[in-house]
Amino acid sequence: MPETHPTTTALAWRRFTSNLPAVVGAAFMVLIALVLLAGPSLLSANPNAHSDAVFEPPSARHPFGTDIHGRDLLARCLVGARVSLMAGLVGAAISVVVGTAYGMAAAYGGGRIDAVMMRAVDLLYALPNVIFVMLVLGTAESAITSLLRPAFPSIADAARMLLLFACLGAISWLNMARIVRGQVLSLRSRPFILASRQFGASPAFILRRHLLPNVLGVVMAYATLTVPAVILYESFLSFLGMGIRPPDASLGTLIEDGARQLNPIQVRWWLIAFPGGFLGLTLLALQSLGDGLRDALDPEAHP
Amino acid sequence: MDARSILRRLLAIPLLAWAVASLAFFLMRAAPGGPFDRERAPASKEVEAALKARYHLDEPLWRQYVRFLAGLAHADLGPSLKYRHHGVNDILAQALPVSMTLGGLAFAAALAIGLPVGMAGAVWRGRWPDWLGALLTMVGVCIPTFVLAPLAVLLFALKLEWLPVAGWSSPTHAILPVLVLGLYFGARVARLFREGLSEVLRSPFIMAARAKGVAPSAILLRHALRPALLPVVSYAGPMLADLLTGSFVVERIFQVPGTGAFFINSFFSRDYPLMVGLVIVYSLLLLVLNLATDMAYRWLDPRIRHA
Amino acid sequence: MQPLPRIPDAPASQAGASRFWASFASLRPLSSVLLLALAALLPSCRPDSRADLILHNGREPETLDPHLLTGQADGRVASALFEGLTRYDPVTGNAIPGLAASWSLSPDGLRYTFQIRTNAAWSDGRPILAEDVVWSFRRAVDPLTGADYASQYFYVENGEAISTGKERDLSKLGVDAVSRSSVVVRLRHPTPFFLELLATRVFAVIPREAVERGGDRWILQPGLPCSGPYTLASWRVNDRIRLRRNPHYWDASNVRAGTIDVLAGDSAHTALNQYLVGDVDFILDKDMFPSELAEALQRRPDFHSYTYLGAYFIRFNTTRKPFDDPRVRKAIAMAIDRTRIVQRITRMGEPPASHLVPQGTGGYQPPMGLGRDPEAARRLLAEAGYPGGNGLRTFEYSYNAESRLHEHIAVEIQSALHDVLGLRMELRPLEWKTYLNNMSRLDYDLMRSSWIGDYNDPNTFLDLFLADGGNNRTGWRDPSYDALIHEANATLDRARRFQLLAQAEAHLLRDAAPIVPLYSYVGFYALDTQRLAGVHPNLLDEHPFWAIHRTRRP
Repeated sequence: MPETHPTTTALAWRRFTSNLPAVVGAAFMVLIALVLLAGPSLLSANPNAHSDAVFEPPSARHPFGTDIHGRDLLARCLVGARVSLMAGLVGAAISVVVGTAYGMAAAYGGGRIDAVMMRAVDLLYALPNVIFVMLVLGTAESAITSLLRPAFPSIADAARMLLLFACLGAISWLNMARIVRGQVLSLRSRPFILASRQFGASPAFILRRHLLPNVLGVVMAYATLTVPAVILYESFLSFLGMGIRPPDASLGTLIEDGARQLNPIQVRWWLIAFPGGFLGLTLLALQSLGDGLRDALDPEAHP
Repeated sequence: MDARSILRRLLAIPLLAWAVASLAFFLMRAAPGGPFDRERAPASKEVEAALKARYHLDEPLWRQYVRFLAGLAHADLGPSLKYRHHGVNDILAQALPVSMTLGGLAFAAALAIGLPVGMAGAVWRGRWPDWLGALLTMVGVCIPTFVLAPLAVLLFALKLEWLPVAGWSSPTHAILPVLVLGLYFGARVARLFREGLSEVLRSPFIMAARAKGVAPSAILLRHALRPALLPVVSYAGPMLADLLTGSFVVERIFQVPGTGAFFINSFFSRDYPLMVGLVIVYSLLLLVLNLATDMAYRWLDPRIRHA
Repeated sequence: MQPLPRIPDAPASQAGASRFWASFASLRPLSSVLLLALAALLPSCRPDSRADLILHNGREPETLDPHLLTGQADGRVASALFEGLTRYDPVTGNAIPGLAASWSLSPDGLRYTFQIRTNAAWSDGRPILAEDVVWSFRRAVDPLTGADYASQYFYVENGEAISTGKERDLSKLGVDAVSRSSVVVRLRHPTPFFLELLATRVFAVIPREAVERGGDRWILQPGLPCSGPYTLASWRVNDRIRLRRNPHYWDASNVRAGTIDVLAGDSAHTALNQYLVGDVDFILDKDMFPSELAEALQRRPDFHSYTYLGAYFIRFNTTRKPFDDPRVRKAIAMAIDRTRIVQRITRMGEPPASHLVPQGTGGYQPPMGLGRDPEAARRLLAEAGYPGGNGLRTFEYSYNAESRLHEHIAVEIQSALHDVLGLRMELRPLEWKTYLNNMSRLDYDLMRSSWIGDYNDPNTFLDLFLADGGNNRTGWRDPSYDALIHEANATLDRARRFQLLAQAEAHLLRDAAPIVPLYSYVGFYALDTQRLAGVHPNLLDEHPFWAIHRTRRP
């Protein structure tokens, strides 16, 4: 067999697979993805089916117990997690893409461009986002009910959900933009960037090849903070009547419901422990995965 | 940043705050319903009209806006439409110091928790202190304050009876809300600091320092610390603004009479002047803190030049 | 090109402890500024002496002006500050003499003459006179005051004409001071519940001079003269209101607590925790009991529940198809399982009610409405042209989103309508003002609703659905219903009057069904009788502060 130099991808793959937490995290995420895709239909319990078994603690029949309507909590956690992960990932993705691009552009552009772009961020940040979300979702809501629903009832729900996710992303990219900008400002004057610029590299090339990899770590770190933030913000929107519509659930609304169990008189622990644990494990896996990916892809990283 | 650009930024702050307030002023009016929509209909149309006339809500929007600007010029944010005996100024004067105390203490707690944990995570990346820190961070990130706060109350106030359940009448009342908010934000600080520090510790100049035989503690404190704080500082500006203007959930659960509740409630009740007043305060704070953040960049990383 | 960061040539051995600490020196200015700022702010956290009585009042009152207020939290405090000609009995909740010592009613039932107590006095010691009463009543009914509850004056001669702007002269109101201490009130028609009305806040007597001087902030003036058992000592928004006993109150010797702290808070769990540890003596607001703890609370010895003047019901938008068809409305009414809702969701012992007026209101016996009958429901729906729910569009059930209780009930109804009638109902949670706005604009299909009685008489519920009532909000109007209500209220004979009202209610619920009542409310409170006395269950849920007192030192 001829001696070959491993490619960058292969190197990255090797670095990733030798990182145990990352592999475990990735495996867990794959498992969750599979369960979430297939799980709800595999389960015998319908997440919205009422029964007389109200507030039952976990049992063989209901591994996660039941809620006030006698609904199976396991089934509800699974459908809820699906919604929440979608919301979290879509929201975080929007925040990463928009925030990173915006922050890098502002910092690299510098001067007046930077000033104008960052004042715009300040302006949006200072405006209470509940007003923004309410107006966007409220307007869209009536448009969807009056126009879309009569014609395409099945698309209407999906459209509403997508809009909700987009809104969640739209309010969470601002901090990302600030953080990325700070990083790029510091990187901009590093020797390797300056050298590259002097050798005639285009700004796009510098941004993509030099700056992006170097801000990736912080971006990843902040993205893993954004996912739970978006998931929980969704439950706040539900409280305002703008999130997930009952009887559907999200992890956020399940956890909010469960938080009411934290009282000195009567604790139905399963209502908070399972949705909360589910969220915690998922986020932990996501973080390990993010860390692993970041370490594997970072050209400067060393084992 | 030189003095001139700082001055320019400072001068822009009132202008931006005015822009945000105007935006909020008009957007609030676009929300359905009004401050005097109630569960019980008013006695007659005349009563409703009189109420609206008293607060000039019957005037065209531009006149209301002019009125608002005129009030602003006298630093008068107008009457609250919900809390009808109180002006917005009175409410802010009562609630802001409370939220600022709580927020300031929580900010200190967040840094006290977040920076050491983040540093341990970066220095011993992948080893047990990192994992311990990751666990603590996870708790702070995954457990929302509306779960963390009741848990803390159950344990420290009801079970152990060390601290009061809720209220704001003695320094001991501040401990639990400060810890809950501190852990929440501290976890985020830890996460960002760990990442920022890892990044710096890997960079060539630190490697060079290591190769030269500089002591690890000196590398950390003299060279790595400051640039590693960049992401934390970027995050800290808005975070401090959020903290100083109060947290809705924490103030509600601990019954702290700060501004947090008003941010949500003024919107719910369409209390236009109160909402706009809060937006002004918040945006002023945010803009000042963001300016401070940008100034801190220079101090943290002298290579940053603002063109 | 920027130079590389300077790296000092420090041998490893020299980097000792001193340098470690020295490197923090650069951080010191920042932290000291922070500490200074905090030290300056800490006084906002100031300790208070404990009041004789600490009550949790739920939400922060919007106003304590008794004429303007609409919220229950507002009313409870305002009642402690200002009294009317009658006041609430702490035991029964019925109207008993307040500022008026006695009264007489003319034989035709149209003319009340009230004698004001000789010892009735403002908290500054000046006497309360008949002209104070007249001025207060005129102010409340003046449309410029903007009192939502001015409609309670419509029973008084010219009250409605003044409130609707048809009569500009306030002195035309049927209230006159005939002497220093007697007031005559002329009614439009006999009003059997008028004395109960007089105990409501909008009939409270307030100090003219202070109101005219103080503008919107009149209530905050130091030394404000109060007509009730307490005066306002301090008010910190969203925190606490401190009340101090009014030494000149006519019944001051029976006012038990010297100082009262009235706490405001939005979190039910917090209120309950405060009660459990003894930081709060009594929780006044039933929204401050977490509904998820219903059964557990009911097992406690300090927990009491009782009937209460409130109804939970669903409104139909009768201007929208298919809900303009009474058969569709009735089918839905008969498909809902009320027992399941009260046993599984509300769980505080609420009586399921197919009738609107709660059992026992003023001695009235409400008729039965439409009970659960799935067979008949399906039949009616088929008759209306939607057999098995086929052809009936997906419709929405709107409710205000802040309360989980409404959501749980909505989910139950959704499931019942689907299972029994094959209907597809979507839930539409709405933020509070949007909910109210949609209700008054008739922009909904079905909507969760409730009503709390203002006085102990069935009319407080039944006049909601008069054709031109501002609170109708269903689009339903029926002249025969209006005629019955008007006829009943002009009837002096109690039994005959109730018979007519029952006839009207039966017509409303059984024939037309623009609403579906679900259950009547219960009041409940936690009262440790070892610790507190002076609170009694009553239909109106009125617990006057002056009667409440602690039996033990904390």
